[in-house]
Amino acid sequence: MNEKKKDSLSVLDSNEFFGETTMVSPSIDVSSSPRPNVERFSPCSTKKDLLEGNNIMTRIPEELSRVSLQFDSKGSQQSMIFTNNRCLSDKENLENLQNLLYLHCDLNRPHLSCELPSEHREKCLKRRNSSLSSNLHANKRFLFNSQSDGNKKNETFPSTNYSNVFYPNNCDSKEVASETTFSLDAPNNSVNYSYFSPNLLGNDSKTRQSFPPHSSSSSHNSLHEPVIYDFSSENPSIHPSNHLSSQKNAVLKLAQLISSFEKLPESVRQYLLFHLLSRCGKHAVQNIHKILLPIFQKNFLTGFPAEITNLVLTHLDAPSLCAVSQVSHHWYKLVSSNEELWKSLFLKDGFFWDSIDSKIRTMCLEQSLSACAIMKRVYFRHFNLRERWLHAPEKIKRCSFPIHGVRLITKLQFDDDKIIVSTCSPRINIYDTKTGVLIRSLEEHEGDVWTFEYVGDTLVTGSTDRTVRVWDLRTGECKQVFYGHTSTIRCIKIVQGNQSTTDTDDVEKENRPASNDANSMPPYIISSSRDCTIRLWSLPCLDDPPFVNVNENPDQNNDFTSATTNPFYIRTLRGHTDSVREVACLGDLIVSASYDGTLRVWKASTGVCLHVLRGHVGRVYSVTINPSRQQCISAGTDAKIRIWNLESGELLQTLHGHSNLVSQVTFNQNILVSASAPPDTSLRVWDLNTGSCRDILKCPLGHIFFQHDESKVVSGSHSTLQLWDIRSGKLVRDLLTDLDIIWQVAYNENVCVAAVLRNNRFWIEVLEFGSTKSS
Amino acid sequence: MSKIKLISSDNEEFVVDQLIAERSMLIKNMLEDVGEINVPIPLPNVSSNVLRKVLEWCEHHKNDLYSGTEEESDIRLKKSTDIDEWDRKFMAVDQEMLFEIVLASNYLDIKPLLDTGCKTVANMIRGKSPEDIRKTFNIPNDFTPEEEEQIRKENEWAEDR
Repeated sequence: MNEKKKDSLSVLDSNEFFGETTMVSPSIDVSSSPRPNVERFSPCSTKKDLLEGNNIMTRIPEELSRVSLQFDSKGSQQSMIFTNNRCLSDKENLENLQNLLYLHCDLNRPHLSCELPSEHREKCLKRRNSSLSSNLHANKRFLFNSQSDGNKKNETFPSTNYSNVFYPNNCDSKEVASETTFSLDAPNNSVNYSYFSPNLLGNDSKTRQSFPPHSSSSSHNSLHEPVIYDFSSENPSIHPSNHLSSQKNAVLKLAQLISSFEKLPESVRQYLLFHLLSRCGKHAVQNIHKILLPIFQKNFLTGFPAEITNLVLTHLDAPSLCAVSQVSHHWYKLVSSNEELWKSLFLKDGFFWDSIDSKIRTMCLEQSLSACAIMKRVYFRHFNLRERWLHAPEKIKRCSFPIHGVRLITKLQFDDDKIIVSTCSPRINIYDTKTGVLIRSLEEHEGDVWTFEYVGDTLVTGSTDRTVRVWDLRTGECKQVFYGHTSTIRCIKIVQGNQSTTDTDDVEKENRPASNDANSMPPYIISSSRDCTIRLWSLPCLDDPPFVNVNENPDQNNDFTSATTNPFYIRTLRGHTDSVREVACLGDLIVSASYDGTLRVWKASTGVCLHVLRGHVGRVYSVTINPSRQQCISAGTDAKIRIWNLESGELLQTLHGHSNLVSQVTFNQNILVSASAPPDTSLRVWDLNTGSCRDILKCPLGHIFFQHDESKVVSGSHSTLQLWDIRSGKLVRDLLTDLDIIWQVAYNENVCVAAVLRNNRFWIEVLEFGSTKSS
Repeated sequence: MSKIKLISSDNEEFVVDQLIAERSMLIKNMLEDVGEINVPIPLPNVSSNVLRKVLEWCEHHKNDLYSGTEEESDIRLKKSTDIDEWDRKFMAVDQEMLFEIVLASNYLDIKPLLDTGCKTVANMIRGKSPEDIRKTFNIPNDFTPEEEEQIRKENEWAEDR
């Protein structure tokens, strides 16, 4: 036994350069191996295991890479396994290991040498050599010399597909008793290794005799031939305790070692190298990694043909594109002269060109910025808006202030300076948006104010007292009073030049000469009423003289008297047989929605009713115009949403889904949002391209008020103010929850305003999103 | 199942199922044009080690449904970062190999593989600083400090947060 052990040790020692764990094989005694198939051993335990014939595993130090190679022996099976656990997913580690493993073959790949400048390649080779030498704790110069003439020989070796190192597909052991074989490569390109079997260590001399002696590399070029590398002949027996002399001996043997290495076939070298590296210290491996990394790096975007580069870029988000353009001149050009890239990003993010974008474009053109730079700026305006609302909750600032003496709130409109609310009373309150201070109350109506709209400093209000009043917001003075309607005013719209009540796309507009008709009409007011009529009035300028004909008797009012006494009166549109709840307009076209179940399309400049849109059953509550498609969209008590062609008056589509009356419907390009009334307390998001319902946003019980744009929906119902991502249909967050009822919701770029009931008092809640700094 | 012979640029012969080979529209069209499948198809732009890798992908994806117009359906939910787990592992190769795979998939006209490759490259860029990108791809910074500052300003996209 003693003798046997000594012999074993001498074999192991002889393998010192290559490490004790290099030569491993399974035990022949399978029955004594009750452990699981795959086990981890630390390298230091290997010697013992080797002697005892246990399962053996080679393990790369943790710091090298968290990937381990395992030799799993069970019976006659032996295989090399990648223990991935979480390692495989750790891409960097994997690359790391691959880099280490494939330095050899890849350095010798002819096309690689073409791509690397020759001096770079030279340097890499030298560095590699010096690193190798340092790994071997050897004299650098010594190694350099011996390695330099080996470089030429390297070129002759074939490159190898390394992936098979990890996934050997043929791991049979052919002669378990005397040697272990496993293949490193694909069947037609395989290399078989034979190793001493530890159980034969006792009579290793006999075993060695059974292997052909080590010969020059040329004889190993046939890859199908088993290669037996007799390491023991390289190194005489050295006592392990005599470390210094062992080291000295090792250094002396380096030349021989390296020349032997040069003679090895590619795949064996690869294997050997792997084991050498697995025995290197952290520092050495780090150095090698540093040197190797650049060799495997690839300037993808410059190397690819333009169309592929573009494909890659289209997968990037905007911040990444900005980073890309700061990498180098070439990368800068890829992004900064690529208007299409930003356009496609703009569309992909679901953004829509609006009038502010057009202003930005005009401004940028004056600064002679490139089309790409303009597109980029416009994109980031929308991008930042979205980020501000959806992804920066920490930036939300809340401010609340009470409204006194109110029963309910009928309408709310605001801008950065003022918030105007009409309450169910003759009073209209104007608050300072920033401070919440009541600037003034307008109290001349004789009935409740149900509707109003303001543009600039001109406010137009409609009341149950049947009058339309025009106010100068600078002074709070009521400048004009329009009599004529014989019942409550339900809807007021101000039409200014080529602006309609809906946001129109300037780009689209350029392609639609029809909408320019609006220019033919000076700014005007539309008022619709429970008296079944719609009346058009010229919009007074702020400097126009006051007009208050108090003597005019509304009960005896008719078109003739209006026309003669009121210089602002234009005409009355008659046809509906019930209350006109809402109007929408686009240029010279007016669409009115009535409780009589119809919609009517009017030509404002002539007063002619062009179409009567029939289809709804019951009252029509809401109407909106989609200018880019020349369509109008309506909804009402029949729970249906109907889409009509404005020019022909034809019903194009009916959207089914809501289970109760649809109280509000708005659209933004190809997205339509509709709100229903309890018990169907949902918002639905529709895709106008397909007419299908994309998402159902489930709101808490109660009537819903909402506003939406290209990226979000803000909805208020019952006690919760909610923010939704319109693209995903997901709730982003509850903005306010401590409420009793939400009456009105409105928002602009930075600010969301809600009129709510909380603790039996009315409040205005102002939420400011992110920085108010304009982009 | 009929077999197709493919010849790589380094003259290695690959024998693969027709179904697998026809993941490549180039090969598919060639076969249709030639009308017979016994003629070996030379692929002078693809080396054997890359072709082996590409065929590995084709083998795994041989039964994928071909959706010529995948544009529509649910584009808003399709994120660039979404790469199937198997593909992600498949693409975990060194940059050189990734580069070759992308070029080969472009040449062989295998759109899903090209797309996956481009996404993989994009994912290597995403979220990195310019300096990190340079490090990742070993790109020298050829800007003068003035240029760098100018371009940095040009790309100040985020609002002051």
